[in-house]
Amino acid sequence: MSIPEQMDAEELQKNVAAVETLLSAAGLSVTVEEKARFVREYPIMRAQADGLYLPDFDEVVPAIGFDPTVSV
Amino acid sequence: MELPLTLTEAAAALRDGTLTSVDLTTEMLRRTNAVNDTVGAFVMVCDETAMAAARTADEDFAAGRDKGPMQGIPLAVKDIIATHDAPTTANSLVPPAGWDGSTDAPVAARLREAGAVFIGKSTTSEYAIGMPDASKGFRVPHNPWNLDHTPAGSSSGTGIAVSAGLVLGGLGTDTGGSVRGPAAVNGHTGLKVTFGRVPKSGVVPLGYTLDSIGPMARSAADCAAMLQVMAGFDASDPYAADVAVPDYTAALTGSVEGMKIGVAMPFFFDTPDLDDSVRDACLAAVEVLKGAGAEVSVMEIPYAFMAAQANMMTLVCEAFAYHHKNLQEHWGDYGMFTRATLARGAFYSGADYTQAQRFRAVFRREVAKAMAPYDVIVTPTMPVPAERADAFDVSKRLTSATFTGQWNFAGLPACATPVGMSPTGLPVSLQIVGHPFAEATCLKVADAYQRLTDHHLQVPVVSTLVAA
Repeated sequence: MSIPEQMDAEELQKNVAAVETLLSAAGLSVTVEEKARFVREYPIMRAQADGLYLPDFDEVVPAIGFDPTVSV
Repeated sequence: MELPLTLTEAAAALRDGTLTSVDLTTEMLRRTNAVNDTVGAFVMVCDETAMAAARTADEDFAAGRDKGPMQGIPLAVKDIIATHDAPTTANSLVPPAGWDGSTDAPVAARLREAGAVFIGKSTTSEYAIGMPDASKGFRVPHNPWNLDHTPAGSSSGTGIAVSAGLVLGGLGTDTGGSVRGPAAVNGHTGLKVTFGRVPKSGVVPLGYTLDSIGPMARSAADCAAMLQVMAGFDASDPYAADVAVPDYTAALTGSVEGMKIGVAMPFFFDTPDLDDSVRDACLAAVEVLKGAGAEVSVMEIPYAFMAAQANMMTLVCEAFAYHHKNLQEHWGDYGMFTRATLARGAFYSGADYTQAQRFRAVFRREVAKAMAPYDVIVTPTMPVPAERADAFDVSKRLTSATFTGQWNFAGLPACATPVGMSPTGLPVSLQIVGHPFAEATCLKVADAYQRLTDHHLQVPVVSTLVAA
């Protein structure tokens, strides 16, 4: 998997919309160049995240835990 | 002035009367101040407090008070670790609030109590992530083997300082490879410890469930001496493990006779991203260990590439939680590579983060199963020698193979040891991965290899210049 140099128009539009929405929701104001890089990176990041949703993990409890007997 | 190359040799010289800590510290401060603008190893050099600590160490030696091998030894402390003699800047124009230099992190306090001399706060990639942005006014770190190449990050300054002979050891932190990467490309030893082995309170967080503090020094024996002081429970870190601390130095027998070493061949040795010179040097090192009596066989770590990606996803999500408000308010004050990486946390969902932790449970179990027949497994530490600094591509990091984050994700110890040089004169390194809390085993294998070779004792040219 590599960073796409070019995307078709529909894919580009979809990724621009997603990146703009997520940046806006996060309250981040980035430069034009930075937004362009995020648009290029976004499909890769999305594919990596989506790749974690494997059937093998369906019954697995996350590796997150805390000891309820310990006060902090 | 010629000085011992290793912490272990210096500790012996301080005890047989051929060296004083004041002389040692004076010379290391001279070297540091002579080259710091060239190599960018330190954010702040603490001349006065270092000399005061050196005088105290010598007074203790004279009075017969011996606190162990760290007494009188000059060290570097990465500038995301709190010390009471200097502020913690995290190399950022958006410095962490309240880190003003009034307290020591537990790990710093332990080393100070053991008589160590802190030369200064060493350069870190901003907030332990990204790469330097020269426009922000901090010294840019350079690889002492070739100033055009990166010293890697994020514990860049400690890596440079050890390699160039400005200190005899130092502290780094490792969330995805930040101790092992600089150790690898600067040509010395670095140990990423088991998650929870060393208390990390007093360290500016990057990835809360991944961060660790590790020793960086020329040899495995030096790292063992440092870890002896650093390791152990401290209630101020909710993730600190209450696990007994073994005698790390005693474990260094020099023998690997009968030890079982797995070579993680798929992915780690067959990815097209791996440089031939790195592969050849690592496999040659395996042959050295085999010749010393180790039982070597090929094995596989499942989900290896996915684990590195999931580690980075976890890291940026956790880091984004810490930096979110400051990114909103001070975007332009962060370095361009730092903000570009931290902001990736905005592109993952809560479900993505949780799914990564579900995968983490599976990965830990599968790694434990795969490693069960072995004392340690080995991989290259970095796929390539130090890259040219001007060729750094923040996007490329998303897709290229990496060999270090897997062990943060699984929480395991891993030691980087030099195994040779590339044809271009840059160090290459082997990574030795152990079972949970088996730092002693990783160090034992690295030490045995280092007794048979001298790659860890190679000194870059800049070091020759400062020693003149």
